[in-house]
Amino acid sequence: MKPGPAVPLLGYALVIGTAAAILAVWSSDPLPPALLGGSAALMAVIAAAVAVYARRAAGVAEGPAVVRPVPDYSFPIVAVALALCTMLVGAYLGLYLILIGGGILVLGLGGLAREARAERRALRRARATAGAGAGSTEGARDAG
Amino acid sequence: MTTVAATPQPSLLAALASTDHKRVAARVMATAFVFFIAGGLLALLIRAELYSPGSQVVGQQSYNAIFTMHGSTMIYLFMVPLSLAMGLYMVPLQVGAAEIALPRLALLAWWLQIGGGVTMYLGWFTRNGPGTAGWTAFDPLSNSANTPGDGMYLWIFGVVLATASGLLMAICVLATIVGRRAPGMTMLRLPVFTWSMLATCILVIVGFPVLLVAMGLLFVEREWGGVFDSSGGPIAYQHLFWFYGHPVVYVMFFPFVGAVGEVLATFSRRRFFGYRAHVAALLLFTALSTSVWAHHMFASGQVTVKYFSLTTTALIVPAGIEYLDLVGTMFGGRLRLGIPLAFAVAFIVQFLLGGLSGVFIGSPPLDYQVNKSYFIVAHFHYTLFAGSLFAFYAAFYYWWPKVTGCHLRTRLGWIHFWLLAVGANLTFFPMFLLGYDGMPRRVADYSPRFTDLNRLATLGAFTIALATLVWIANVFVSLRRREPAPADPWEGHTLEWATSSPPPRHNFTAPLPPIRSFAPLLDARRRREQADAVGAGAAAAAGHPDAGEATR
Repeated sequence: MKPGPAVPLLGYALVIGTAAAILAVWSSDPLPPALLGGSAALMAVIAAAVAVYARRAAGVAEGPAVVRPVPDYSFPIVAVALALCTMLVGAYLGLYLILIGGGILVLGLGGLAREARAERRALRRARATAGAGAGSTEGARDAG
Repeated sequence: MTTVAATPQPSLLAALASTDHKRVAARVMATAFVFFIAGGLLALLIRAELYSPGSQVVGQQSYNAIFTMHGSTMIYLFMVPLSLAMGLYMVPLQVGAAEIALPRLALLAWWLQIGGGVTMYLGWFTRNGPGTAGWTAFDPLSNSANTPGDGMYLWIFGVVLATASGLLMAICVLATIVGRRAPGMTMLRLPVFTWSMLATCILVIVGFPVLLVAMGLLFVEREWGGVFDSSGGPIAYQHLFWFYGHPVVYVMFFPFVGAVGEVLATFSRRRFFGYRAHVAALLLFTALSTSVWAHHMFASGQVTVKYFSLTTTALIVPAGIEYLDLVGTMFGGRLRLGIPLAFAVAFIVQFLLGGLSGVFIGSPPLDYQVNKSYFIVAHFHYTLFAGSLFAFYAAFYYWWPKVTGCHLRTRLGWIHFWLLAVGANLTFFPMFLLGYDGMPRRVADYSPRFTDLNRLATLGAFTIALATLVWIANVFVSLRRREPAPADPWEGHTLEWATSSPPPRHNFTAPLPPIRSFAPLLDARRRREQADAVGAGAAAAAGHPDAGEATR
């Protein structure tokens, strides 16, 4: 059996979990073992999620033949970035920046929602084309 | 709604919003290099001030701001984005994917990197200047009483945005490795560089959120207090900071080790030596490097010294295995001398010096002796500059033809290499001696007995600046007067060399070669050679007149 992508993550979680246990014995301060143990737990959860994902994805052909319907350009995500920067700085410089950032964020998220809807449509079209016997995923490139 | 054309038309707005991982990665690197130049200019100011004892160029407060912004720029805005951007570009190609997973997050990461850098640098335009508490911003030095003013707040926000950017990039790269591998690309067939990126992503996902928490708490502490002002508060901040701060050293190291592994295998014309041991060592290295952070706090006297000294010393084991594999790859290979190989070998030698001095200061009694001295400055500059940056240049000269479709100039490359090698050692080696003699770090003035070594270091810093100018000239010349590069100019081993230079939007247009090992192109080449040899043998047996030519 070939090791899946969850194995290195789980191995990492086990080693630092063990290290956390040893540190807990030696350390009088609870923070260091908590940091290390918490990280081990986090990585174990991520490893479990990856294992589930890998199991579900098993048998699905990957690689260059599969092109997902993602737009070549995404302006809404740029708006989201701008909004996040503005709102963060606004936390110190003033409420007006948070409000401006919030407005931009709403616009950006709206744009992302439209992109997601268009992607789903493109994916349906591509599947329909493939189902009709074309056997191609080229249509998926035309998302948007 | 964003409209998608089959063949994207380049335009300024499109350039700012492309979701192609190659474009995003190239822009992250370009942005990182803008900050590298800024951080480098700050370093020159530091070295100019330290040319002589006394205060000549800047005052003490300005000096604090300059070394704070130099360190912050180089760590948060240059090295970390650079190392993750290498993965953003190369990992999808190496695993045979058409694109990166979660491409919008990658684009978001680039914009947050810009936002972080701009926010941090806006501190220069505030009344008290930017943050002055060092790149670590230890509390209570960084609280509002000791570092007043808006600049420190902007520094905190800049760090938050830059760190979030790195986290997003790591998530994209990890998701690509997990979910976008080509058929046949099992985990034990991942190229060495991709494994190193996997290890890097693990460290980012574990460490970076802790820094975000630390910065959030620091903000609250500055605004309202009550977070770190108890007796154990400063130590708690240091634990949070170094839980990010030590793993980030490996975030700035692993990708470059992986890249050097690829360069050495290709330029030695042999398969990477000890692949499985290397992967195991890398994972052990990753786990141990998460468990050593408090060795930065030995001098505080409030950490479990025996545990952190033990784990720090244990790092020698995986590091030794990795070194053995790197050197073993060259051993017995048919070396082809080139600039990427020269930078890779320089990395091996110089990083060894940085690494061994790390073992030295991993021992508590020795650390007590040299802590807060220039010995520490020498140690981390040997690992990050003389080590990782040299490895980056090895990767840069190696992958440049793939990324741009043209070659860099060889002569300028050699001038760059030698100037940088001389400059780096001239700058940082005297710092070991200065630190050993007791010169403290983070001060603008020093005792006259340290003058000669400081002058050598300053001379070295300006030599590095000259080397960087030569490198920039090389980049511009190669882009303006292009010498076209073929798809596989070095006879590479991994899948990025199986596509055109530069790669198309969806990375591959032709079917991938069969993937039966971590070096599929080398396998394909060997099979072709064997087939040619068999064909030539058959032709010779049949008395074909060209048979002798084919077997020569």
